[in-house]
Amino acid sequence: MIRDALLLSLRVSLVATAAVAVVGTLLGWLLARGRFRGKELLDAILTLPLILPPAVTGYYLLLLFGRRGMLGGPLHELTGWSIAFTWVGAAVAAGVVSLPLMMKSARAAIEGVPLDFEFAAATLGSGRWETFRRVTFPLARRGLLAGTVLSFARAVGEFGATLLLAGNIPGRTQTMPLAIWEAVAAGDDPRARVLVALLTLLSLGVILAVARIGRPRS
Amino acid sequence: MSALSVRARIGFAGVGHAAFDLDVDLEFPPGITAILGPSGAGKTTLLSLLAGRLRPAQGRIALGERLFFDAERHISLPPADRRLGYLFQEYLLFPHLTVLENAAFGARATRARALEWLDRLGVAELAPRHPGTLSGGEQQRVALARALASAPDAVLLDEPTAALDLASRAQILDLERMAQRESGVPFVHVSHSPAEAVRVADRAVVLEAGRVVQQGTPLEVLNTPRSLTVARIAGFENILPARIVEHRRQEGTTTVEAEGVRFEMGFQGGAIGSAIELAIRAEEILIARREVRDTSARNVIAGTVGEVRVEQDRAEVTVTTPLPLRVSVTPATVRRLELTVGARIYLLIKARAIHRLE
Repeated sequence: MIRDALLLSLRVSLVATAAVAVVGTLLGWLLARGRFRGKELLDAILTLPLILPPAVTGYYLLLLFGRRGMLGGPLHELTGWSIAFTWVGAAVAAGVVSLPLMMKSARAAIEGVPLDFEFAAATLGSGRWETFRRVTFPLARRGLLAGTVLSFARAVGEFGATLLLAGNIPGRTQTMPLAIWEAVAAGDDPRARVLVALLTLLSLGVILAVARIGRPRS
Repeated sequence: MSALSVRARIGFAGVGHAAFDLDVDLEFPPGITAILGPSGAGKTTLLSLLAGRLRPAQGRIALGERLFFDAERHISLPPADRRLGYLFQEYLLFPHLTVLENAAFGARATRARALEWLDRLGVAELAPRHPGTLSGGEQQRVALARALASAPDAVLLDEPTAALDLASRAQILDLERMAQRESGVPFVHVSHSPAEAVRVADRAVVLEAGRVVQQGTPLEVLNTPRSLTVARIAGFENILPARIVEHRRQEGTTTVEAEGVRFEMGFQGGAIGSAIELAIRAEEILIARREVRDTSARNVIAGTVGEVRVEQDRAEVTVTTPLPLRVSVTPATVRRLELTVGARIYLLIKARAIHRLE
């Protein structure tokens, strides 16, 4: 059971982080360099899952993706399948709560790249996307990497939204935090301690990784 | 090779600074044109308009047949499509790329052409290194190679030597001249240094508060200032408010008066009594201990030495006539003529050394 929870947690977190890294970077770019109305409102809405209690975020996700949800309903009617109570649902929950961390990191990292570098690239015939790919992205990569690691950590620790959207099905949607909760509720202290130790080690590793990324190269 | 022409008007509302508008009509033929002017005159704004970083409210910008901007036809080519080279004061080489990757960055650059320009500019051996390990002069040479490897139709330079030491400055300017000759395209070189303009440029344009106040060859502009701004930029030490007293058409001279002292200068237009401003270089005034009569200098003016400042290679003497005039001589002259405070002397000024400002 410990092994199941660990493997599921890794799968859910890695899938969520991969998606969040791509979407968060593009959103960060849009927010850092875009000029459009409602930019700060968009930032605020996407930041909400960072501030809201995860249970609230989970409830919104149910409204959206549940079997009778705004998106989940039509999906269920068409395919008979729903992300609720599947590992995909756990990944969606983990992704939504960690997206703000990635997006904020990406926005700050991209805003930290001087506009003059992008202008220099433009005078050399580089279009917007090419400038992002060849100049902005490489120059912002440390901040982007740090944001990715933080998002991964947040995804691994996700509990509340996951419980609401994906439930707590051992072997299917029971990630490590949920397994800890169940072990403690069942009075299985030895199992709880192993899970707690594993998560503590993982978190420590993340902190060290972020510190390493943040340190300037010699 | 085509000329770069710009006719543009752009205004900036005064937010945090004084309201400002630029209104110019200029043509930059192949060769190097220096843009001079005090800070805030609009030099960098002009480059931004040419490069497409800013859009004028009205006007037209074109390079030969290629239209960059036309307000009436709503045409505005983005910077990436203008095929211009741009040199920055801070070089702005991409720090994550090697020197060669930087030089070959341009969409129309090739590795071969990048290497060729790195070689011509004497930095080919730096090709595998990263910009962070280079000196300022080396970085600017790489930046020049990067701009030229894209075969630009014109090159814009925004104070490219401002962050360099004197030796690197001279080197960059020589390489810039070479690069211009090789490429044959217009170079527009913003500078705050008149000496640099004389050294590098074929033409000079002086901007003041967004307007062109003078243009010509750099020497012509700096030796015959027609405005206070140009006189200041050119380093005229003596700038005097004066009044027209008398015209002598036959002699080809005009007499003017500044604080009770009369000067004869080359014939000027303007009504008697009208106020003008004069500029005289400190080094164009001679000092004599005795009154000299048979001289070509039209002005021999008695005065008293008020202050003497001796430096290593020059001395500046302030003479009260009673109008104070600054005169530049060598330290040897100070000793030989015994120019001490209170000494009675005569100043000799050619009529042609007195310039009228508008």
